[in-house]
Amino acid sequence: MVEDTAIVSTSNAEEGQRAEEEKSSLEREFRALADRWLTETQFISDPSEKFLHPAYLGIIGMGRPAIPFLLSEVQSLSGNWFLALRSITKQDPVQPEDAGSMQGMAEAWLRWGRQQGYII
Amino acid sequence: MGKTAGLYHLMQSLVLTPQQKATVHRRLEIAFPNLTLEGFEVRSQPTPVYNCVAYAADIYTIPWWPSDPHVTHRDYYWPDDIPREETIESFILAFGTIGYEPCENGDYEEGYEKVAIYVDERRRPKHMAKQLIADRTWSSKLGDAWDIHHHTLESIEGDQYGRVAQFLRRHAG
Repeated sequence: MVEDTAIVSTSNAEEGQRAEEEKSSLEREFRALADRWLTETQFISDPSEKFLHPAYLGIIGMGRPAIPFLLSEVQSLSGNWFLALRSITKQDPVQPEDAGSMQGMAEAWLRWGRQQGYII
Repeated sequence: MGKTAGLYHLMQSLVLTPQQKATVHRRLEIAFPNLTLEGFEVRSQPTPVYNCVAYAADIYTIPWWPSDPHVTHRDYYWPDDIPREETIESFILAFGTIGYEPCENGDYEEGYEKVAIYVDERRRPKHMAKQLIADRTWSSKLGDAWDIHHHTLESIEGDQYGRVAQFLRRHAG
């Protein structure tokens, strides 16, 4: 019985470690793409040039695991991440009353993130 | 809304640490080689909240661009009923909604505010700058990066923004 418990604990610990490693690897991948996009498009205003950048498309390609990292970028207003969030989630929580202000749109996405459990 | 935010914005003075100054210079030197030769002044922290076109229109809450609303939804403002096309004509019409009209050049004219439209080799708009009435120089928001004051329009011409192709003016005040 004690041995069984020990095996289960070890197994849980290993799983936890694997999950942490996976998250850390995803975070590194996201950070590298985000930094590249922010640097290489920092002087560009044209959205088609910004959003067709390979690094931005790479982030969209990461899919749902990128959502928490994207919401963190939205929180710090580091860039326009709304298109990536819409592409991945197929949702748009921005209401007409939030439009017209980047800050308002960011707050709408952060509210959505809290409701969905991505932000605690 | 935008105008009030703009006045507040312009009153802000920006003090950069030596390290921040070095970073700004390094990045701008690569993108705009003439700018660092002619001199410039950084006037804001980087922000994606508005872009060069919004800045030229004195709006500081949302970027302006005639982007496809099916793709960019409400992320970019463009005046209602103005074609969402990346053409000089569309930009002229958009700025017409806030009182601007085409003019001959970027020379200072008493009683007028002026803006300039930069285009690439295919005449697609890439950037806008506005004239500073106080000292008759120019000011730009560089993408998601800093607002800067620059002495000449030519100092940011080149691969990044192309060349100035159109001037607009409106009565000041």
